[in-house]
Amino acid sequence: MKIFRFKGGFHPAGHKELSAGRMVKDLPLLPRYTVMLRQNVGAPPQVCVKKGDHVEKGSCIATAAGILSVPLHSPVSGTVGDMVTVPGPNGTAVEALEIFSAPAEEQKWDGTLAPIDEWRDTSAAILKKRILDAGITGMGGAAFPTHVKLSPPPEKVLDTLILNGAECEPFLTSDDTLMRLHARAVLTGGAIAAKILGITEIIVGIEENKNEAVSAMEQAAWGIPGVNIAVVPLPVKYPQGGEKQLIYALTGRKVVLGTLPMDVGCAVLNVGSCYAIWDAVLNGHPLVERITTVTGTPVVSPGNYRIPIGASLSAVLENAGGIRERSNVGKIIFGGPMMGFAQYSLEVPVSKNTSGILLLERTEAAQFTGGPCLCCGKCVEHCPMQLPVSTLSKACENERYDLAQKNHVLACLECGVCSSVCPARRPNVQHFRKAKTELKEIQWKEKNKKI
Amino acid sequence: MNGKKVDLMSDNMDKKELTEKSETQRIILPDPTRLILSPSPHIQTGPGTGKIMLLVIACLAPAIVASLMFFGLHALRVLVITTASCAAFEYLWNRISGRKSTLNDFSAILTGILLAMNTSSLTPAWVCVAGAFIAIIIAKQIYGGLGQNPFNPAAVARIAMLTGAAGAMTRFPAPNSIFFAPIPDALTTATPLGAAESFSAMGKGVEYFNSSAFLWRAFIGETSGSLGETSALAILIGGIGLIALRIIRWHIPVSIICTVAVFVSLVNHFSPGTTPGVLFHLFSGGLLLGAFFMATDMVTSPVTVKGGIVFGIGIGILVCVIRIYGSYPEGMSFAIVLMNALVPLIDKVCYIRPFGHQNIKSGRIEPRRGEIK
Repeated sequence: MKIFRFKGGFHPAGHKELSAGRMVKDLPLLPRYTVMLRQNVGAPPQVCVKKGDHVEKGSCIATAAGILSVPLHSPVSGTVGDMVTVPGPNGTAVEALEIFSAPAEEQKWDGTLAPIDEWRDTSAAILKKRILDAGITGMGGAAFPTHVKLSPPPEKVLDTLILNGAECEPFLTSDDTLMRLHARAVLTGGAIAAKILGITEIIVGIEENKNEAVSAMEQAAWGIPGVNIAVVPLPVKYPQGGEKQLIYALTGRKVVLGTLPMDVGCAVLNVGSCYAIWDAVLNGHPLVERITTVTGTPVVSPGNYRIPIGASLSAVLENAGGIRERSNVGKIIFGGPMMGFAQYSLEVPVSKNTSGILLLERTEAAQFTGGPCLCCGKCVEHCPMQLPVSTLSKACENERYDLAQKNHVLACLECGVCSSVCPARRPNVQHFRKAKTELKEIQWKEKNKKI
Repeated sequence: MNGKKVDLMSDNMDKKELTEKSETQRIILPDPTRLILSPSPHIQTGPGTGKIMLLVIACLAPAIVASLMFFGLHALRVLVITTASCAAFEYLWNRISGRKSTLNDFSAILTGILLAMNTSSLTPAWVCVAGAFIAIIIAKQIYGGLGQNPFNPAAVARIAMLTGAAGAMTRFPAPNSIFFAPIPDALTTATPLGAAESFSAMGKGVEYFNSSAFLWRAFIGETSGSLGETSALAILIGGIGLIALRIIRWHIPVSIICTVAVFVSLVNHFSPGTTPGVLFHLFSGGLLLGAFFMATDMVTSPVTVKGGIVFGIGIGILVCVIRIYGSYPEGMSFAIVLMNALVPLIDKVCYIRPFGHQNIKSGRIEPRRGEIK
């Protein structure tokens, strides 16, 4: 299969060996979980339980509010507590529901969602309903509700489902681990999604540094009838797992600025979401736990952990052995080092899209001093969207949003490559995020004015 | 040590287990009050501005050593005066305008060294100081400092010195002639380029300049000229170092060299005897120094690879035109400054289109350089 190389991107040191190649460790039962309400793009779900209610593992605790929303489920059997305010992973305080665990011997799954063994004979509508009921969102980063992704408007013709196993972020190995250990489940989840979309072509894109995952997925691909699965090793290059870059690498189709992958006939699902689909359809388990990489040089025992959603960062770190003596932790990051969020508290709960928890030494952590731009062109050379980054950086810094818009700041992925390679250490991504928010606000205001 | 010590006090744990465990290992958690909060990305690659400047200076080291070997203490004198006065002007400007000192980005030091590389070892001290003033204050700080200057400061200063103090700037000592003593005028000679031009103007043949003995001397640097430009060998070593360290892209120097080679071959093909051969042009004068160290200045060269090639071709053509048909024997700094002026235009024309743009209308972009207000 022909692989298209996208322009730009770079190859940072991987550090995947810290956490790769091991089994998934389970977290012991914690006494208390705080489940954040807003875990998905779109409207936060509405709480449907009250204080003192008894819930089982997987019981619905909040129902979807509108189309772009998914329900939430309890990660544990126990008693519902108060609504509390916890520090959220992206820096703002958020509302969360407290759940106190019942003793370990009383833990059991809620049986509301029955397993659908004969999913091949089940209608797409029922399967889609199941994905919604299980509260599945994209598990790579943005947490976009998966059932919405699987409901393209009828006029769009899709022909390819792409499973994103690129995992191009340095340090992270959770998708790698998932594909090594649960290749069949991931591909079955993919096949279910393909059935919902009514297509038979599945392409799995995996960066070629994950040999074991590639061979496990290739072997598992033989055992799944009804769909054509191609497992494609991709060159190691960040951001190979960016949606547009992945579609281009695997199909040669370019997603035009301002349109969606469905406009070029593709749907992209993260392998973690596929595993969650499999779990929801064949086992009847809603999304209440996920595999997360806990890594970084200061961590005593880095690795991949199966973490219930709502477990706090401090509990996760305690179970990973804490940090080494004499280590000077500068940053704790939810997600990868390129696109993740820096944390300021150990009370942050793990959510559906926490693909990694990364600790960086003070010396490893980047600090953007924001010197004058040298126009060296490194950012332009490495930008995966081929944007005039050096111009944009200065325009956004000085709030020239008109110029920023002309130079397509809205097409920016926020992948972080330009800041990472900048010799002047300019915080480009920060400027672009601000400009994008401001521009969207301006557009929204103009739209309202017309009405 | 700054980690906060936390005993394994999980509530669900048996007390017995707890005492056993806390004896064998204590779990340390990071101290949240000492965490850095900043937006992504959280890792950096490659050297920073200051380190890049230092690496360029390190790559200039072979040329500096060669200049000291051939021109002795006079070379050292010029080098020290220009570097020190560039640093002093940078410091003074920041002090007077109330800015943070920018000496630690080493760009002023680099400008000073490059300026010395571009002047003769016989240049009087006051001319060196005036050159440093022009380079730092007029060509750089007035535009807003590092990153905002449209023209290469060292090249601007050299042009100003050459036009303003032509007599002082065009006295070149013969190599190895002087080490300590003040130089009698008799020992100064013409540079190879100047000699070649006067030879061809007088109708004498230029074959002498194509002889392998002469080319070898030009290659290792045993000719007269400015400090850093005589030894092609030393500059090539440094230039290859710059490319290997990925500080500069190879496109600009290679396109300059190729353009000069093609241009000179064409001239020699159609009117033989006008000018010496390709190798003479490459090894003599400031061509290599300019191609590797001055045209590639990040601030004043185009942003894209495509633009860099256009920029290099432009410099190559201009330098050949000035050398062969112009009244000056050497035109590298003129060519660089003239092309610097075209860089914003080159950036606009040679722009890459955003990924996934469809038609020209939606993909039209407006790249800018310098300060954006």
